[in-house]
Amino acid sequence: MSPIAGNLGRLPRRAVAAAVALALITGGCVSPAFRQSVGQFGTLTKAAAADQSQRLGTIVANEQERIRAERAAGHVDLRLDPACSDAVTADPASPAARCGLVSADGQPLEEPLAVDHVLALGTALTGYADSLIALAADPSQDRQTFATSVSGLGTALGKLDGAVRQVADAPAGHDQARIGAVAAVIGEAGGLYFAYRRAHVLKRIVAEADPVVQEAVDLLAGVQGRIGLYDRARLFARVQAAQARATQLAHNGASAADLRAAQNQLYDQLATFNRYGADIASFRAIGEAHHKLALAARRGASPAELAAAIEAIIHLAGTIHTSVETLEGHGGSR
Amino acid sequence: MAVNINGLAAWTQTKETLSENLHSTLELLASAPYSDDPASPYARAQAEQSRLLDAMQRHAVAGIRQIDEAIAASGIVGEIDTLSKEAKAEADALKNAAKTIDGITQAVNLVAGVVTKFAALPFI
Repeated sequence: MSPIAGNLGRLPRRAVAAAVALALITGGCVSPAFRQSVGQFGTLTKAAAADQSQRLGTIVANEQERIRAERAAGHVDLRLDPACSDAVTADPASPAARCGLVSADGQPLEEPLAVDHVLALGTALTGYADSLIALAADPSQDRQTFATSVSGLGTALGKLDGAVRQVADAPAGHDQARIGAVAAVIGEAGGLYFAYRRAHVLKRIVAEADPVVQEAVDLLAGVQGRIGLYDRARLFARVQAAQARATQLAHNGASAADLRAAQNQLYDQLATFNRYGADIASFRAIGEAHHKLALAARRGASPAELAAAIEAIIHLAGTIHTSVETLEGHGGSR
Repeated sequence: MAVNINGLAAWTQTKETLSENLHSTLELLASAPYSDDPASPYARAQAEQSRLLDAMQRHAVAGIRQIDEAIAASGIVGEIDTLSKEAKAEADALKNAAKTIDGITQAVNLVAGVVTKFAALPFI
């Protein structure tokens, strides 16, 4: 018996399994709670980005209508920009292919609102959230897929056989029972490997991405605030109009029924104004959620995660024990 | 990747000034005697309120444009795209590795070491 084995032999089996668990899994545990939090981050991010995209679309359309209405009201004489000559001959995909308008009096025309980069940032953040969700997927799917692959490894039996011979000091051969026994170990250990790998990378990416994510949500939260100002100013204008109408009727001899109808309009517009924003997922809340994920990722495995890892290794040890028994039972040298 | 924070702070300052002006206007409107004379304090305050609300919408649009330009100048979209691609590549690799011999070989290498450790333990 080797000195190492002798020392380990004096420890309880569970303590040995714990030591192996720490070596293999500690850096990469992912609890269901962590995985669930990643999912929540993803869901909130996608909802907030989609909502913002829709609201920005409305604002862009409103602004275009306002600009065009003001041009018509001001009798602005619109002419074609001389640079349109380049646009006619340019590659349709190039920026030079855009033709614009100028005012005949030489005054600059107001540019319509463009939000391409805000939308691109929302899309990028959504893509990041989707990738995290894929990476945080339940590793039992990996295990099942891997186990299926192992069981179908007819042509790769030679490599498995080599691993078995190396460990069990057994002669070369194609003993199906022996290969099957070790395949069971490989299936389970391979599953643990993929769980470890998936968890390790997920935590690393979340921790590294947090500063960038915080900056992104700051910018998008700023946009959210500006959209809020725009929307609430428009809604308040309707409240103001309803209040002005109700006050006018209160002073101009209107019937109680007519005044009541006007005041109902005021109540309704005020309620709509006060309801605004209740259903919007906040980018600031999303940023806080990601920061908590990053802190959890940097903290390392929790006691619950370590316990789960130890159980997995003990189960693996049991599988190995069974496999070695099979090896010994088939004329191995051990 | 720094964003022009001073520009954003100036936007906020102007927003707060608009808000203070609206507050003053609403205070006057809360008790001003009603009159449909355009020159009356009530009618003028209503007009000012409309002007302020219109200015707030313009200011909001200017603020959105400001952030859109800041995002364009910062490169942050590219940074997030890179992180996203890295996470996706790893997720795809794990998904595919579970089905390929390379993934299995990696697992075999790992488990061969584990099996060796356990095989050396006296309780097996």
